[in-house]
Amino acid sequence: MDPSSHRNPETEWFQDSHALVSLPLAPSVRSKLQIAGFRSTRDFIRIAKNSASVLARESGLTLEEANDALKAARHGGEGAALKGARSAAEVLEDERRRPRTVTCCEALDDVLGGGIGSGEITEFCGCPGVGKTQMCTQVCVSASTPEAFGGTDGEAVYVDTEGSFMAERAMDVASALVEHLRRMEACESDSERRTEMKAALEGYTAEKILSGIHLFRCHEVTELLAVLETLGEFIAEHPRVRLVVIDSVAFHFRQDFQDMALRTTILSKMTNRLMSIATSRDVAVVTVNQVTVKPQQDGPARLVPALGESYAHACTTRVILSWENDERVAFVTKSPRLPQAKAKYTITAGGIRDVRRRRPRDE
Amino acid sequence: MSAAKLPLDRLRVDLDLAAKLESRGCRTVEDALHRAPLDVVELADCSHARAREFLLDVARAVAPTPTTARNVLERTSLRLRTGVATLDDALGGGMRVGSLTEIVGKAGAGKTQLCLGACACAAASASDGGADGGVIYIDAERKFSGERLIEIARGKFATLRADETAARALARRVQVITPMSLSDLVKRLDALEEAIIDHKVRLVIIDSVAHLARGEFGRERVVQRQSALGAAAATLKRHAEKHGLAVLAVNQVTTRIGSAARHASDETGAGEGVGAEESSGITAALGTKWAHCVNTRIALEVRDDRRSIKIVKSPIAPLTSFDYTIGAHGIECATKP
Repeated sequence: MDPSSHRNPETEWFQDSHALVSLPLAPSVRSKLQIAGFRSTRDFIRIAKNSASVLARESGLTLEEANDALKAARHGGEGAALKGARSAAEVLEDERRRPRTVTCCEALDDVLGGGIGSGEITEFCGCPGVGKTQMCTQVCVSASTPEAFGGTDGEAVYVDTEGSFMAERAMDVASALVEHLRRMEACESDSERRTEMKAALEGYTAEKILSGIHLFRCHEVTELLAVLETLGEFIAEHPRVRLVVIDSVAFHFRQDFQDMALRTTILSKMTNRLMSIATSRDVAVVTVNQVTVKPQQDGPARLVPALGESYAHACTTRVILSWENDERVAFVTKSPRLPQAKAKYTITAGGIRDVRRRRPRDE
Repeated sequence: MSAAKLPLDRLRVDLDLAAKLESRGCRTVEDALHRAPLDVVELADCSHARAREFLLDVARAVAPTPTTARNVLERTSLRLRTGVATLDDALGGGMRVGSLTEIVGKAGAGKTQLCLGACACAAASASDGGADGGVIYIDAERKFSGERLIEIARGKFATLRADETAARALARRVQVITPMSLSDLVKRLDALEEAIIDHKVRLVIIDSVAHLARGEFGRERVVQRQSALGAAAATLKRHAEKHGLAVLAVNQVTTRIGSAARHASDETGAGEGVGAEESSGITAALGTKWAHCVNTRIALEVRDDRRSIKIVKSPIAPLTSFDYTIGAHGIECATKP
């Protein structure tokens, strides 16, 4: 009887499914292994007993190459299909615990489910002047809100591809936030919480907030890709970073490329990087996209987010910012957990805020 | 030279691997970073870990160094005056260094006058009250007038009125170039760095972008036009940030076509300022892509006999508007709003 028959047949199929060609091996290594008769990761166990020296002897690889091949095999064919799996209950727990970065516009925070979530990508798109950069500046500043006020008490990374980040503006927004939190502290009736808030506001100044916003200015796609490649390291060195803003993703991609296929490849490479930064570092990622005019076959041309259909899958939540009767409106068009909803917002000297009802008959 | 075109063997990376990649046609930083680690494994016949490490090294070598918002605040509080006092106050002191300011308006609204005023303010010497810097005036429409520049400068700076040599010195600080086409402009902009350093340039004026773009490309070649425009804007911004200068660009207006186009431009933010002229169906030219590149947009509007300046888009200033007249001193605002 075949000695392997005692294995559970239900878990066996995937062990064999890792053919050698699917492993990230150098072509010369792969061909040597193939010539020596290795076909799948299972052969590593069966013939070489998972030993680098045996594998090297059997295949004619150097010891280092054999060791790398075994590592690659272990990495690719984890063996247990459910390794690293979490139950939905754990996921739920995680989602609820996750800190959210507020936009300071309550109506918008509500439709976003309490603010911008970490571990996911939130995209803002809209036409020039509607307030995309203002939104980014606001969330970068808000990310510094101390925990005593329900904030994330973190730093932010601002990747600026258009040169639109304005430090003066960030200063205004930061000063307004400090002012607002001071007022909150003054209004707090619970004495214990008030002491906590007071302690949190100790040394919390607009200058300090600005010191916690790290700017990367990228003049071309290559620099943007390089920043994304090294961003994981940067966040490891600056563990307080809770938010990454890319303003904007569209700018370079809309002019540096003639070859559309290459553009798509690189866009998807970039979104993969962003997603992995968001999940592995548990930071919130905010991207900005421009809009473009799309001619319709019937009826008038429409404004649609730029960069095309396949890119539209990249973000977790997509928010379209637009004008409606002289008022700014944020519209959540895509989200795995939120209903489509609209929220009015306005831009004041102190940043993004709720729309105040001016005329009493509106109320 | 941009980082993208740097040859891989100029970097502190695994040179052995770089040589292998070069023999396979992957020569520059751009070539490498456009590839996934697995592509590098295939190309260079190396292990996955080594390929990943290599790409990370390349990225480290060319990634821009981060700075904090606080440092930027200290560095970019510089302003260049437009010469229109009320406008400068509204903009927090003038045009921001390192950014692109645009003036939009109909023919005869006073766009060139505003440019000449800003030019005079930037080129006047510090003792006269100017910024004491060089100016590059890209005169695509061939409307630049040296006579008028001196006249405006004398209107603004009393010390220049009697002093012929000071006025000449001011004029010498202004370099006027007249590109023949948009592609010519893009070429010249690429090579502008030398002139910027030689002449201590603080301000670059383009009068006008639309003239060049519309002249060279017809309606059928909008895609090429937009890509050339984008390239020009990106180069200008790079110079502006690297060398701490302000860019002032003039744009023309265009007639909206049909209700669809109106809907589009209404939402472009031009909708708010120039949108006041909705009845006349006019909007800023060159479309949304160019509008995205502009940091600050100022609209000059003429209605009957009333002329008004509007700040239509600005990262710092609120949307404001005030009346102006054109006189011997260039653009003047009668009173503060």
